[in-house]
Amino acid sequence: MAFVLELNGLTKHYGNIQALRQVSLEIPQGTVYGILGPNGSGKTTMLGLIMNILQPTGGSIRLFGEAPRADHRQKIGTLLETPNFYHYMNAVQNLQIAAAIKGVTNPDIDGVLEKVNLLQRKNSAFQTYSLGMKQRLAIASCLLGDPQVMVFDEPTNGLDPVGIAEIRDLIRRLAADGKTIIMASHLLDEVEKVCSHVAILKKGVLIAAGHVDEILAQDDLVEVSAANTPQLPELLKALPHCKQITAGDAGKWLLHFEQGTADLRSVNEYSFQQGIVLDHLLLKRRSLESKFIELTN
Amino acid sequence: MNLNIPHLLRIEWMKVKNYKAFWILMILFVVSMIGINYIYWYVKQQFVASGDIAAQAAGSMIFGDFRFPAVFKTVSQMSSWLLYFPGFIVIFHTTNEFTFRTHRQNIIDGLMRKQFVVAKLAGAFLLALVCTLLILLTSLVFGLISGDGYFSLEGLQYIGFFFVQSCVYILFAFTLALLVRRAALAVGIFFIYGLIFDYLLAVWISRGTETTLGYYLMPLQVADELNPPLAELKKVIGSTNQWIALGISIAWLAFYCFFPIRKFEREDL
Repeated sequence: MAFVLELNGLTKHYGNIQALRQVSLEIPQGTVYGILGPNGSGKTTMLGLIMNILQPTGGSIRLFGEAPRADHRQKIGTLLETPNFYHYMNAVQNLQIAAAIKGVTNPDIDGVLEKVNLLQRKNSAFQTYSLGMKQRLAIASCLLGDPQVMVFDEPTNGLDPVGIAEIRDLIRRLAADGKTIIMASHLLDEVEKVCSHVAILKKGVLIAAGHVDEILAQDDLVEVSAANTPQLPELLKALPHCKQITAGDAGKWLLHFEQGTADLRSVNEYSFQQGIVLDHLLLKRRSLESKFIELTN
Repeated sequence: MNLNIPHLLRIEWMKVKNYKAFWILMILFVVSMIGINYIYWYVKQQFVASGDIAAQAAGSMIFGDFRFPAVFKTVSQMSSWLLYFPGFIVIFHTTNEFTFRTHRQNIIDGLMRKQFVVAKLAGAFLLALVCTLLILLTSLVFGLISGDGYFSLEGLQYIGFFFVQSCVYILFAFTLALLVRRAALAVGIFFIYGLIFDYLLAVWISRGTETTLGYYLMPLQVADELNPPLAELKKVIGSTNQWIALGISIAWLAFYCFFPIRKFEREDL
């Protein structure tokens, strides 16, 4: 499998602070790879190292199977942290500079502005834009030259709900076109909705990486209770597909099933067979947040 | 590694051509440069018109000679006071990159770190060349209107010296901007240092060593020695060798090229 990006033991220190510790990761071509982690986990540092605006303390990076070069970066559309443009220039002038640096001849500037709904304001100075419009312009700049790889750091920052939905839709369309997208975010919902793969960083350490369904797999939870049955966990532990039983709120118990395997009728029947009359039976979806907190704590 | 300097200059031009402060400062520089020479030329004409031989001699000493071949030295010397303007342009242009964080974006988009600095250096040399061509043109105009039809290119080396002096001032400003990264601070330091402290340090070192060493060592003063005040004034404050000053100025220019590239290539942006 061809890898767009390979990190090997990537490390970055800022004085005594270890921003990134021995991160090794491979990003296959054609995936939408989410980099997930709480604020300060090292997501932006990792992308900054990849894009050569930070110098690594240790480890190595390979882009397109080679040692990184400037012309590799020209082939990657990147939005890192904040939209960075010349404030006194308008959208077209800023994109012309970006295109010249990327080596894109005859850039379709109107086309990329149209894709991010910024065409009507193409002649307005960047300094007059709202945060959402600046973000859209940054994404338009990423689209110049139709690159096969894109790096987005918090791409929906500053956007309103409609803008967020539009950018998610755009990312999905780009992914459907076979482009590789590397997207850092602390928004779980965003990553779950658009990413095929995910890597989770915590305090600069890579704690998990792989297919999003594996890493962010959510258990089915069945909440049960019965009168005067402290032995309930012991009696129900043999329930088919039940992985674990934990204490819930107010004397209730939580039965953990693998995703999509919980069946309330079977639970009720089995409990009855064990001599337990349930007075509470509820199917709950485990939140993505709780899974994330479990992974990062 | 192909730096592709024409391509880099084209990108720099795209950045400055829409920057109003660039045009305002350039226009101010051109007008001031013509203006300062006109003032000196006009006052000098008044001394000449007085008919008093002593006054004419004093006029030549203070206000210079605008006839060929001395006009090249006179105009270069007078105009060198205005080299802060192109320095300011370079400071604003460079610190803008840090303020807007476009120095990072340019690298992200595919410039090599070295290319980013070389683009600025090439732009600085081009700006120095434009300033020098303006001085040449001004010298020719004042020379032609001041003399009695006599024309000579004998003092043309002073235009060359002015080019080196412009490069030194502009690249000093660029290095300062790269170190300080803030426009107001860089402009303040450049102006005060250039106007007062560079010369002050040169005088202290020279007094301390009882030589003219200080005039050769200080980064801006050594370039000023290429177009020193008129000979009579120079006799009072001590004389330096222009060719040694030229060599040291070129060494400083090499430093201004080498140091920013090395710094920018190694640091976190």
